[in-house]
Amino acid sequence: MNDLIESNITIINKLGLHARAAAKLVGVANKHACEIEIGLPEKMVNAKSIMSVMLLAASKGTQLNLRVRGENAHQAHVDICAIINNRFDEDE
Amino acid sequence: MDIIDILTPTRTLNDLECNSKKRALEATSEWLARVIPAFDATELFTALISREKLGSTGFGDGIALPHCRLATCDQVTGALIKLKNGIDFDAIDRKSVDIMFILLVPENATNEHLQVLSTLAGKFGEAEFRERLRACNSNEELFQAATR
Repeated sequence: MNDLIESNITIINKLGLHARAAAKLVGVANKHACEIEIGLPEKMVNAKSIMSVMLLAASKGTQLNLRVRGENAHQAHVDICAIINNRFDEDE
Repeated sequence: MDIIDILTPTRTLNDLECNSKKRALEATSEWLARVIPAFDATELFTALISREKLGSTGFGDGIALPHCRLATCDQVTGALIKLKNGIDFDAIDRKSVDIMFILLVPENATNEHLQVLSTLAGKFGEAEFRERLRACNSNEELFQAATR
C-alpha cells in the first residue's frame, strides 16, 4: 500500500514543539519507513530530522500540516497524531 | 532572533579538553559561573544534567544543544563551546559530539525559547556552518564564525 495521507493537526501542549517534544515526534517518525513531512504550507520539513522539526518553532495552538506517504502510511499517521494529541506525554 | 543576540565573545570557548559528557557539562558550568557571576556552577550543572536524563540533547552531526530553564536567568543566554576531541553524548545518531551550544532560558520564556531553538536548528543543521566552526583555532575566531 502506497497511500498519501494529508491532514491538519494542532499543537496542544503548553510548551509547543520544544526540543524534547520534537525528539519524541522524530522518534515516532523514525519507527516508520514511509516519508513523513510536517509543517506549514510554505515550510514543510522532514519529520524524521530533529533539527528540521525544531525549525518550525511551533507553539501551542499552531496548526500544522501532516503529510505521510508510502509503506504503512496509515499507521504512521495514527502514531504521529497520537503523540501530538497526547501532549508528548507532558502534563499540560 | 539571531545567534549574535544571545552570544558574546566571553561566552565562546574554543578547544575545551574533556573526556566525557558529564565532565564536559561540569567544566562548562564552572566556566559559565565564572563568566556570569549571577549563575551558580552547581545549580547550572544539576539543571543541565537533569535535562539530559530526560533525553540527550545530542541532536546529531556532532552537535549538542544542552539547555535548561533557570529561575536566576532573566534573558535567554547562549554559550558556544568547541571540544578538543569528540565525546560520547548518547546522541540520537550515536555519533560523538564536538560542538555544544548551551542555552539558558528564563522560566516563562516559552515562545522565545522556541524561536531560539529554531534559529539554532537552522544554523547547526547546515553542514557548511558546522565545518566553519570546526575550522576555528581561537575563541575570537569561533565567535566570529558563529555570528557572521
